This record gives sequence, structure tokens and C-alpha cells, in this order.
Amino acid sequence: MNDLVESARIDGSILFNGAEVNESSTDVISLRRRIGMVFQQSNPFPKSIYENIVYGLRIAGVNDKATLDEVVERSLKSAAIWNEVKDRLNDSALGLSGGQAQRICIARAIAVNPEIILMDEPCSALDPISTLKIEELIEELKSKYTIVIVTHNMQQAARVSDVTAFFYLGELIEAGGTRKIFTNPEKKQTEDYITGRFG
Amino acid sequence: MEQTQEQSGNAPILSVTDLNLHYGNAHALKGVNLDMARHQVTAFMDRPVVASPRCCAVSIA
Repeated sequence: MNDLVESARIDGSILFNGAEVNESSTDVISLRRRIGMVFQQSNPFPKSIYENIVYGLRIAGVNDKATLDEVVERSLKSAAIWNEVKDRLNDSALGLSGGQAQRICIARAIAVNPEIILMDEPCSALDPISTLKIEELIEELKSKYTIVIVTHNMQQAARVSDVTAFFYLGELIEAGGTRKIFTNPEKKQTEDYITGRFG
Repeated sequence: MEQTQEQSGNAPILSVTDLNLHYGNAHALKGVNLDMARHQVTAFMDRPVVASPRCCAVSIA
């Protein structure tokens, strides 16, 4: 993504399964399939619910209806929204509530069977009930996927994560088990933040 | 993307080493080192007005 920003410069290493992400030889289409993203603002495509879920598969050349039907059902069930939309798969995804739309976006990410799901503040635009559904979903999804979630909400980090990495002004101050970070952090900056001394 | 490391076992699925990200003169990520384990939820947390966790996530993707 940073390739599109002229002033962006990146150095260092990001290894995904031992292979460098930023090598020019990296197949970015394959990378996008293996690392799914869910954004802060839900972004369903202006298509039906069904076509949103199968979008990645169609791009990959999969058009067999039975296969697509199976993936749609499995993905929507995995995203805990099947029962809410199974009778209106051909309706526009733009007519869904914010929480439903965000779960459709998670289902769309799951449909191509990624290894990692990056979630960028996935609940910041949602009401508390929808947030709870997404957080419960994260707990269920981690058995199949590795999840990285960006959050500015300390309580959410404490509720959903196994590991917390605390950043301050571009530096990674401390990373470790979430329980330890929130009860016995090693760095004073972390303690000052979680105890509300700044923020 | 070729896989140069066995996917199973305890090897991290993502391994970030000395990662620096600049936007012009802004130094958005400063020497970040972090491994992420499989089937775990890792939270990138920062103050609400600061975007470094997002920069880190965007760098990965």
C-alpha cells in the first residue's frame, strides 16, 4: 500500500512465513489473498451479499456455483451472520446495518481462506452490541486464523487479545502477554498509559 | 511468494525486524521488532490520536 505514497520509505524486515514481504519479487496478489484486511469503516461493495463474499474467488477464476454456494454459507456462518442474511443473499450489501456490514466484510476476508486477518479498528464505528458480536467472533476465528487487531481502546485490547504491543510516537514500547501488559508492565510508559496518567 | 520456512511448529507467522517507516520527514515507525505467533490475537495499541499501530499493519499488507 505504501507504494502508492510517494514520500513513503520503508526499511527493515517483515517476514511472513519466513519470506520477505517487501521484496520486489513478492507476488502481492498472493500476499493479499493470504493476509486479509478488515477496515475501520465497513466497506461492502455495491453488490449483493452473495457477490461480496465470492468476489475474491471470482477474481481467482472460481465460478462453479456449487463451490461458490458452499463458500458463501461457510464464510457467513464463520462470521456469525448466516442466520441474519441467509434469506436475502441477493439483496444489496449496502442495505445492512453497520455491524452486519462489518461482519460481511469479515466473511469476505475469510472466503479466500487467508492465514492472517488484519483488523484496523474494526469496532470503532459500531455500537456496543455490534462491538460485542465482533469481539466474540474474533475469539472464535483465532482457532483457524492469526489475527492482528489495531485498537486505540485499551479495554478492547484487554478483552480480545492474547498479546498486546503498545506503541508510543512510533516506537514499540513493550509487547507481551496481554494479562502481563495490563497488570504488571515492565516499562513505565506502558504503566502510565494503562493507568490513565496520559492518553 | 515462496515459503522458505516450515509453516508448522512454533515459528512466528510474522516476524518484524528493525522496521522503520517514513512519510517524508515524519518518522512513523522507529525500529520496530516484533514476532507474531500463529492462532493468536495480537493487539497493536496506541493513543487515539496516533497512527503508529495502523502504520505497522499497513506495512505488513
